[in-house]
Amino acid sequence: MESKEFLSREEHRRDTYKLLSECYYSPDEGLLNTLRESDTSRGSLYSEISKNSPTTNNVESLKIDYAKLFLGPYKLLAPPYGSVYLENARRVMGDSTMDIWYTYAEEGLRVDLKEAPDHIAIELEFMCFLISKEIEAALNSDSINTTRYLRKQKDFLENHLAIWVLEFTDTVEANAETEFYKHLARLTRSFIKKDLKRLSES
Amino acid sequence: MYKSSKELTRRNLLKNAAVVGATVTLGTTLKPVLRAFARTGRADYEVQGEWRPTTCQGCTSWCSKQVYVVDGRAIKVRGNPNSKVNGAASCPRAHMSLQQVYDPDRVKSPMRRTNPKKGRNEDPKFVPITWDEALNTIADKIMELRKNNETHKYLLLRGRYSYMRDIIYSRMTKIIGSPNNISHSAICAEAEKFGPYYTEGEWTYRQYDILNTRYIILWGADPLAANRQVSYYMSRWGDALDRAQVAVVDPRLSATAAKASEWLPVKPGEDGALACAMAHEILVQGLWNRDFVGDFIDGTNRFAAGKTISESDFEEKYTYGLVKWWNIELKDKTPEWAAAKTGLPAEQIRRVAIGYGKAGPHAISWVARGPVMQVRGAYASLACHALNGLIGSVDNVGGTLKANKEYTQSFPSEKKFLDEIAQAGIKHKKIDHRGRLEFPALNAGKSGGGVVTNNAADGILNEDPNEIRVAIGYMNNFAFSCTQSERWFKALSKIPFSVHITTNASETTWFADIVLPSNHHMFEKWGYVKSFANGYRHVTMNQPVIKPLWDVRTDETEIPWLIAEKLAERGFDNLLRHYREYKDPETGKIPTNEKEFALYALKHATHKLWDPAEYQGGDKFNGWEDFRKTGVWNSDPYPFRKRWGSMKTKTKQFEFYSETLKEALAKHAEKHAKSIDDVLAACNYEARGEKAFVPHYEEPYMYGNKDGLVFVDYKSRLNREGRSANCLWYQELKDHDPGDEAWDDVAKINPVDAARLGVKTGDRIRLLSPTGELECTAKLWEGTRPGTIAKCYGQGHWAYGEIAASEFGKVPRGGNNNDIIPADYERLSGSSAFFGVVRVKIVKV
Repeated sequence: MESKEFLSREEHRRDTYKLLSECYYSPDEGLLNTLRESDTSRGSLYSEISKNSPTTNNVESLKIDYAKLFLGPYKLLAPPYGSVYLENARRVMGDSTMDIWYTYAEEGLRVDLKEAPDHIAIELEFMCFLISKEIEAALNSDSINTTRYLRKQKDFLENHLAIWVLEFTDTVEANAETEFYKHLARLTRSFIKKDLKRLSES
Repeated sequence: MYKSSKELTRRNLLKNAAVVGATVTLGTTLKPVLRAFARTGRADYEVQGEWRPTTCQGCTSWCSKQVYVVDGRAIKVRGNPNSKVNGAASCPRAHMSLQQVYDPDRVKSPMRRTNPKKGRNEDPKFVPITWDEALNTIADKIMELRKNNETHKYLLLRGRYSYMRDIIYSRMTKIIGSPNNISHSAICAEAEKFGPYYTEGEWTYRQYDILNTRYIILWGADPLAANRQVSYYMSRWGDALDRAQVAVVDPRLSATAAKASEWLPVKPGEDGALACAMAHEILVQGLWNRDFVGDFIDGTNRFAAGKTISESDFEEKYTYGLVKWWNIELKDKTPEWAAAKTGLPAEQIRRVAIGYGKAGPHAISWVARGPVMQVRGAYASLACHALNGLIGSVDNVGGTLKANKEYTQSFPSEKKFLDEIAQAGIKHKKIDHRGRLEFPALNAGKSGGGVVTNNAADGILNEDPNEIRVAIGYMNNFAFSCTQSERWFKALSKIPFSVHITTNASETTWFADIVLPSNHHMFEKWGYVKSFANGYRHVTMNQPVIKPLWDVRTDETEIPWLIAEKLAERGFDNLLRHYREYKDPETGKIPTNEKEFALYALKHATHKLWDPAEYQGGDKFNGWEDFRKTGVWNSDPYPFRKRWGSMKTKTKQFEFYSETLKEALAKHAEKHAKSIDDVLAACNYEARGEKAFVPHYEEPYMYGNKDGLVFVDYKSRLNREGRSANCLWYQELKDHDPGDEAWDDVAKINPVDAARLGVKTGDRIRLLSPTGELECTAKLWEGTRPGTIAKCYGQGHWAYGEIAASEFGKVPRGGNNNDIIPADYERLSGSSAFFGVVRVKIVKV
């Protein structure tokens, strides 16, 4: 059995990826509730996001900003797809997308949303999934799988998410009109940077 | 739409509780459960892909295609070898479709406008909504019209289509109760059909037997680059050139002209003069075809310049009115006369006419949009096409052919579903003014039988004959593709509620209240189209070869069904009851949802092609699945010369003196209690009296200052009907259009004119016309006839996506040609005039 401290830290990482993931879906009441009810004691990121979380009366301006940045139609100001940054062809479903698709498939997962597999929200959630598997292994004192899933997280960040998330979050920060998305971009960037560093050092 | 977090939490607690294990207690309301994923429990992916059949509608060649799909992703495209029309050939457009379907700027979810103000400079501020919310809003708006007996204020605007079109275009509009289903046809090429109809009774495009021909005259046609059957002609043109001379009549050096034996850089608008002179020369030289046209009774050729001939001296066989034509128009139209009009040397006119005449009947006079989509283009359409009659190439080997017979069937009749409101509604006059004195639009002989697409904008703006309150448009972009397009900005802004169904949001979408994301026609939709070339006709299906990435629906089938369901919920179920009649021909099942409806409708329409029990001709299949896997049905081979003597004209003959046109004009005149001459005057034609019934020369009618350069608009080999400018390859490969530059929009000026104007290559210039202006880059190019300025259509998007515009929403990449072309018409066919219609002034920026 791993230490309580280790588990708590991994749960925190897992939940942070999950929360970030949720923030990159189209904003609605559900998201607002999530943000409102988030346990700010769980770390600075939670409280930081909550601090700038929108209220019900400005959800429409958040939606407008969301559409312009990530959904369209027309020019996406910050395309949320890895392939756009990794392949220099401004299209979805590139070879890097399929690489992710296979990575998911190897974990016995397939994308069950009408979205490209390298959408930021999906990649963030995949990290959450890998950490969950790591925790599960840790709880079972399965150190081989604990290490294996830690390794997978590092590989995924190094081969996918962390390569493009810096450019992506810079783009979001530069183009967002609402503080919420500007701030979300900053938090996403700093969290992933730190997380990758930690994984690399461990 | 994405699922809301609320739904998700509930759903995933059930779905994926096992993922994290119950032992972990979270301190938040957010469960670390999976929202984006489903667990398959195994790594299942394909090792090998599959070629799946579908159809490319990047232009109206409508080629049958195959798409290579691996793990649900479309990788590459090739011609469907099962098609006898296009075979394995593909033009560049087909490949670009991959960039369209995977364009991150596509419409991915239904959207609602939040900015109540509409205009060119009003950001619509769209927000995502659910399909349910979108459909409810649309149904409420339609019900409001029905409640107020105002169903004629509903408008359906149709751009490109598949033959599933009638479901949304005709059936839905009529059952709601509106006369206003407005198609794009009149900005396409209706004037091109005018010549063939009023000579041989076919209101349609033609196919050309290029493998058996010895001479081809192309009138503004550029078959190696644009419309129609580009794939086929690209693959076989080399074989044709082995046997045939090709002469291209075009003020600019087209892709085909670059490979031709003769280039005739005609002055814009003077094609009719050239065609008349060629006809004159063919007759004077005695090169007409005796088997088809007949001969002088005594065998002596009496056609001599300036000489009138007695009709009784000539005995026609399968034609009508040759001597009348000669006497009324041709006798004085010598090559020397035409040389002065066209700016071409008389010897070249003579040489081409004689070469063409001698090659007859295995020779083709190939009419495209250029010479005919002009204010006075209808008679050029007649004159150019009549050359086929003279040499007997109509319906003949190596000549010009109509479409082969096919056996698709129409959808069930809507008649019994029209209630009193609808019956009253459809009796109103249409918004495009077709059939008025100044808009005969004589499609297939009927006054007001055709559409006047572009004039609908004026109808809407002036509320003439009534206001439009609710509009739905699909696969169209009239705010870009119609001339003097700012009229559409205003018209669309004026409509209180409009919906745009589209794959990519465009300039038209900018003015919409609701945007509905449409399937991509080549990868995600059930449908079919018909097309012909190579002596065959094929019926090829649009098929969903991949699962759509986003939350899209099919424009022509699924969306009208979903609207019908919503209308039924509101107590008006006529449309849904009608759609329920589209049963699956295999099982007799009634459709219960939009997906079944889309499929059954297609199976119904193509029933006689795939069901062996219903077999009529052409390819034979074992059943639906056999047809679906093959993707295309081919007709029987072309039956040459079957129509000689039984054409669908008034006289049954090929009419040089068109009794058919005379009757159509007379009926239209009579409807307005006017004379035919009054009609001609209202339509801005010069002809009076008998001249109106024969192919003849009309002086071109142009806007702009006389010292300006005549603007020459043409199509790119990369245009997927104006929908490809947001594709990277479009911009990167733009220099594959002769004279063009990558990532730019260049206006090509002859160096002679450029020197006079002090313009050099690379200068930023502004083109000014009486109705608008645009900015682009100057390019000195000898492929432009002096006195003209040539610019390809397709650039100038300001609202299409990241790549299409220079600065999205604000600065277009180059300029839209339609911004400087005035909205005028070839009124006899209803066509918009795109060519030889405006002179522009050039200023350096």
